[in-house]
Amino acid sequence: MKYIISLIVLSLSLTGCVNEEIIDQIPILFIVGYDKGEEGKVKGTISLQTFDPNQEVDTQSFVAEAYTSKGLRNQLSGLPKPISIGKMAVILFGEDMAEEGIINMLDSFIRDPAAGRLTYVAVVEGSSGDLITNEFQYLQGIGPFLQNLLKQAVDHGNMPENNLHLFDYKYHGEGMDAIVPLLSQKESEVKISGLALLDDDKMVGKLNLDEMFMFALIQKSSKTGLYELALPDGNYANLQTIKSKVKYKVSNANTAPSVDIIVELNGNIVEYTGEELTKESKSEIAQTMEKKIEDNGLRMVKMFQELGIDPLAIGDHARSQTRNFNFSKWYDLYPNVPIMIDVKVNIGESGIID
Amino acid sequence: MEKDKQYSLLISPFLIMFVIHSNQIGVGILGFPRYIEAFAGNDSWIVVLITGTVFHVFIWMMYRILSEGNFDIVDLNNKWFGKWIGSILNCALMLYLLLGATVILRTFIEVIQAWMFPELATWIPAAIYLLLTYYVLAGGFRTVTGICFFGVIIPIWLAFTAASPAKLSSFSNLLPIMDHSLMDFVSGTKQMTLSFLGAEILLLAYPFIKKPKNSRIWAHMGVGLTTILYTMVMIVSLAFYSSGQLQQSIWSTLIAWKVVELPFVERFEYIGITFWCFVIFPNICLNIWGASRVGKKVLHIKQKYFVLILITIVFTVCILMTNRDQIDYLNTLASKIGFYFYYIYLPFIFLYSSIWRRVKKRI
Repeated sequence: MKYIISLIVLSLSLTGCVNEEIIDQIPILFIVGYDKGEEGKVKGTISLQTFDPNQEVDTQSFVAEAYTSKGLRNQLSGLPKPISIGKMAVILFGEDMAEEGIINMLDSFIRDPAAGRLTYVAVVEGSSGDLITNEFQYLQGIGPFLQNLLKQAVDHGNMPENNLHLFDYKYHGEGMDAIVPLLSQKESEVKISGLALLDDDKMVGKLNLDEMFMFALIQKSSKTGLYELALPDGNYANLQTIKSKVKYKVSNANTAPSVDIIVELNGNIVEYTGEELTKESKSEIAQTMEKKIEDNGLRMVKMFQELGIDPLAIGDHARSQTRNFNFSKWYDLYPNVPIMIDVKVNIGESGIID
Repeated sequence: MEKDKQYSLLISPFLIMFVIHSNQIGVGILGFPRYIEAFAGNDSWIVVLITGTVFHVFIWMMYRILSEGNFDIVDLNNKWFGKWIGSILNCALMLYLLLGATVILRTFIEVIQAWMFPELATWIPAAIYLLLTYYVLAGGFRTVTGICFFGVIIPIWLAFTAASPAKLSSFSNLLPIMDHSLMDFVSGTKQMTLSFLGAEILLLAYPFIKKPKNSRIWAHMGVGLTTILYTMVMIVSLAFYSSGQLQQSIWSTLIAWKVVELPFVERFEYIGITFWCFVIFPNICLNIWGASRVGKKVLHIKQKYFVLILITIVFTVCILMTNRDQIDYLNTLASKIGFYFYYIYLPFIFLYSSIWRRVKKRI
């Protein structure tokens, strides 16, 4: 009995040992943008939602300059502390910042136990600060809006899977390089304009929306959204819910490597501008698609090899298929490895009419 | 032998499974993959299976050692090596168990401090844990076993959370299989031994089992369950992380929980760590219970008072450890002693007991 009493007494005396954080009183960040500042500093822009108990959510943005991400916090003297990054949804980088490397800023999020790993990392064409401070008419604030935009682009659109964890995975992994979404803003609109290609943590190239679609299909087995295909006879066909099955075959990876990317696609036609969808026109659509993906894919692969980056993780595929794989040799050989893409398209359904 | 021990103070044979399993799983599972991966790379899961098999052999050895009569290791040490050497061995065993309790408690408090409450003073969770430990130990071994049972059953659902990181994983990371040298496997197994430590509690708990000879299958199942869990965590970790990423992650299992998405909670780790309190608790109870058993028999102090002394020691050491390096040192020390315990002491007394028995038979 006396143990119980002593326990109760002790646990009562222990309350309030740690600082409490009340959600109505602390600033919660959903989005942060980093741009190049003056004298090697980093300009950080945040957008903040404060929850008013009886009104709608209020959004404010703040700008500060410092050398590190956490250093920016001290500069944000107009903000109540502590700042919570537990709900951070999107981390943006201006293009000039991305070209110099982003890992220094991301370290803060990878190191902090409070930060999530499903956060999106994206590059903005132009300045990320402008994008955040711009007065868009998004009801829920720019952070949650962008999170939704990117999430749906991955789930239902043509964007390959990406988030902070996958960036970190590829940054540290051998034989692979990360890709992150590329955003752009036009006046009062934010949109996805493709993918930014990274070499380690530095942006070295871009893919447009069309290329992003091809990339998503040949990178790994996946499902993409809608694609408009121009046919040689001047007609157009729209393909939807395209599922790809991808196999990488790497032979002689340690000596004279060669790579075969075998892609099997299944898609449905949801729109067709021609007269009637016959068997012939279907096979024509399939062939045009095959040719298009092969050509574009090869062009992309060539570009990757010239840039010395490996967003398709071919090096990792080579490792998984080769005993005693030698990475340093692979890096030497990679720019000249012959890579073949073999696409086979199956047209499944074509809606409820012919 | 304790003749006054009543039948009602003993535990059912199947409960030894929970005792062994709960003592093996501790804080190690939250971060062990990177230490194994450093040696065996993508073959690390095979190392886990090898170590699991080795521990089945150890369990078999322990049952052979204990097979005669109803003694625990303390009695046997005294019987075989005489009062002096036996007592030294027993005291060493006691210190080892005490070290085990300290390492687990302090490392788990470090997790709480690193992840949940950076400002939390060490003594607070240490005091709460150790007072609870005293409360449980005051109830005797059956209560401790009950804690072990619930320490396994309550958090077992956490195993299903592996599905979330598995969705983001690329399982081709496991290929090509068996791409490492024998030496890598040996070093990995040596490293992995730390995570399997805890089965030695059988040497002390044996006299408390009803029909102890029938309990062997359950002890093996305890180790088997541990092996399954570790293998699962290892495979998911290998597939979820790239090699370099795993090497930089101190608590890889906790970090993997960051991608668990639930509608009502943003950070699953907080729930995971909270439930881990149930996993840690049996470890502390069992280790301190074991140490107090040894103390009772060697030093002839009443267990009730000796537990208090032990708890004070654990508490003091815990609050003296203030940074990662010291905790790491303590972990390495415990792992080294544990390694020698299993690979030198245990085979030695196994042989010794076999020879002793044979010699006795002849006389």
